[in-house]
Amino acid sequence: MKPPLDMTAGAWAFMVVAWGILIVLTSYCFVIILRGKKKEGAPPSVPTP
Amino acid sequence: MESSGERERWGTRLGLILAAAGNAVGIGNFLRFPSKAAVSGGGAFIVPYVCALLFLGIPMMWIAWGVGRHGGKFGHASTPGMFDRLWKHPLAKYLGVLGLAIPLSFALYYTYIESWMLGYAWNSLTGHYTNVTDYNLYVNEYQGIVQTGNWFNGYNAAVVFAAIAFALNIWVMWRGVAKGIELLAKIAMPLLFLFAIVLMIKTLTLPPKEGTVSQGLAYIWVPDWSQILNVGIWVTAAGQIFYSLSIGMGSLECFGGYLKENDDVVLTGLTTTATNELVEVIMGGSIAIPVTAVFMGSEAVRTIAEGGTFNLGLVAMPQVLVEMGGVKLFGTMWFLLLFFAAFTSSVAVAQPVMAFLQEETKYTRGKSVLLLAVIWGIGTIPCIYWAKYGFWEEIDFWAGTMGLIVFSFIEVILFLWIFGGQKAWDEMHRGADIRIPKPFYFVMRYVTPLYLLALLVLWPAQSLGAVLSPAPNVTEGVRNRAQLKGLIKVKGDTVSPELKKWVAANKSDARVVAQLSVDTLGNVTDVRIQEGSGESAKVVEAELRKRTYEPYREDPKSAQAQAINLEVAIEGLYTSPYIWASRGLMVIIFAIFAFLTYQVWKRRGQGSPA
Repeated sequence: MKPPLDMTAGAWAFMVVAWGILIVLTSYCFVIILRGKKKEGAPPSVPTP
Repeated sequence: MESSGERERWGTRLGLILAAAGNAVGIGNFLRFPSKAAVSGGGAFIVPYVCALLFLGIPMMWIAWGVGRHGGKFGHASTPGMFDRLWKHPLAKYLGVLGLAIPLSFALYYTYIESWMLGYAWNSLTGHYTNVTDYNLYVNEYQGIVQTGNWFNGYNAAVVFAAIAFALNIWVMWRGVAKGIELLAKIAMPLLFLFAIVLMIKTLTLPPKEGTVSQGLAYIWVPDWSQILNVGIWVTAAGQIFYSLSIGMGSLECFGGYLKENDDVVLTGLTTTATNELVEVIMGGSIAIPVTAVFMGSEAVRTIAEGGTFNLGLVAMPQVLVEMGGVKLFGTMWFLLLFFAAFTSSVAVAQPVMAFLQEETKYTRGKSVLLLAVIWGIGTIPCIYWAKYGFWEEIDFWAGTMGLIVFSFIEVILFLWIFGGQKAWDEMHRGADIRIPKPFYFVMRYVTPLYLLALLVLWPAQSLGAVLSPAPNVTEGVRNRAQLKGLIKVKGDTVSPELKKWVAANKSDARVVAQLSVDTLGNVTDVRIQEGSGESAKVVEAELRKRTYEPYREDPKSAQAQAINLEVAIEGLYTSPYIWASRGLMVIIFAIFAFLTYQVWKRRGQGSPA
């Protein structure tokens, strides 16, 4: 019988890299948004008549 | 027919991001992604998945936000008006009607699916499925697909939870963009994250049982490179990106339509994508498949994943949650997580219609909600009652799958080619917090449309034949199932092929209930027809007599088998009229909005302020 599929060292590395990229990218996006870096135009959220 | 005269806007930027992420994050992130990855080469699936993300997902996300904000400049938050601004041609606005018909058609059945999650959350909280031995029959009974009365009575449960989900959706639509959709996202998204993190930690720290966590993760991360040249997995990966990011629905455009002229769309689009991918790949990949591997064994994972998204979510997961213990806590969390994911998506896909009715036809919010509720409600009823005839799956194929690609292809051509490549690029960058890397100009203009064109050819080639000629369906369930404690599995032939032939030839349904005597070896020794007569009953009886079951054991680990009596309810379903009704419904929805669009533009042409 074929042994069950299991994580290899390469697969763990693959997973860690993918998770890392996603965490860094998402954090980067939210940090820029929360710091409100660009504020040339009016703030996005004021209701207009 | 008076509007409030004030355009709706987002309350805060974070609220907008959460609402956009809520739109994208849906059931597909937690169920569809892991099951597709598990059966499509694991780590090898990630390669076409990343390609589809880079060449389709991210570009289409920016395009959708760009088109939306551009339309919003002219007071449009729905695609008929937006497309009309991109291309001064009478046809443009009717192409934009797809951005209303597709999301509304999608909402009809998606709200129903969403209600299953709510129903299962309630059933988890009450421990309703704790002693169930056939979870497949349980879900079929819940949905009224098989009416055997072991745990549910007809359609009652399905209808009650569908009504609650529908009412919640309508309530949010009535409250509007900032006080409805945005507020919901601000509550539901943090809860979704919290539940997902708790379930992830619980899963990843489980001790080995039938299998291990790492064996489950292997289905997602260990690459099977023999699959990489399989066109099917490239199509599947692209489909997953579309479905997951809610591209081609008209909802992202609608969200963009509520932005101001100089509000950023580049970072907003990227954040929406990144958040969706974080939830999908990290959280979605680390709950359902690993926990299933732990409690059902590594070998079972493939079979379960091959059974599809809902097999994993509604058949395997309840069983796993019971095995794991703490159904009332973890089961409720799991299904509430899925419900929140679906809820934030369903309100988002309904908003383009609200925007059209409020801003183009100038209906009041109350009248818009009423009209939306009428179409939505009427359309959802057959999705519930005709589910066993494949009614909503037909909508899923045309509106929820093909429609997204067609709409995206039209949109990219309108924006990048007809409106103009450089103009579109400048439009996306107006007020942008970050710059889009230059190579994406080439990607958006050439690669994305070609990718979409390839999908338009390859996707239908996979399944169009079966879709165009609907086959009869057969459902089956054991009526006295709740009294039997072990599993009962049919070995060998089922009645399906012969009954299907009979149904196709006679173009009518057949319902037969038979009592079977099954001996200790699993052979059927006697068949008595209890309900049903005529030729269909004879077909069923003849086939049942040939059938063999796995010998029944009350305790699956015991070697001792016993003779049993089974009451089996079998239905042969002639699906064709229902499939055509489903197609007709989609055409009617398109026609309603095409007519309203015609009326609006006719009035505008006559100089009326409509």
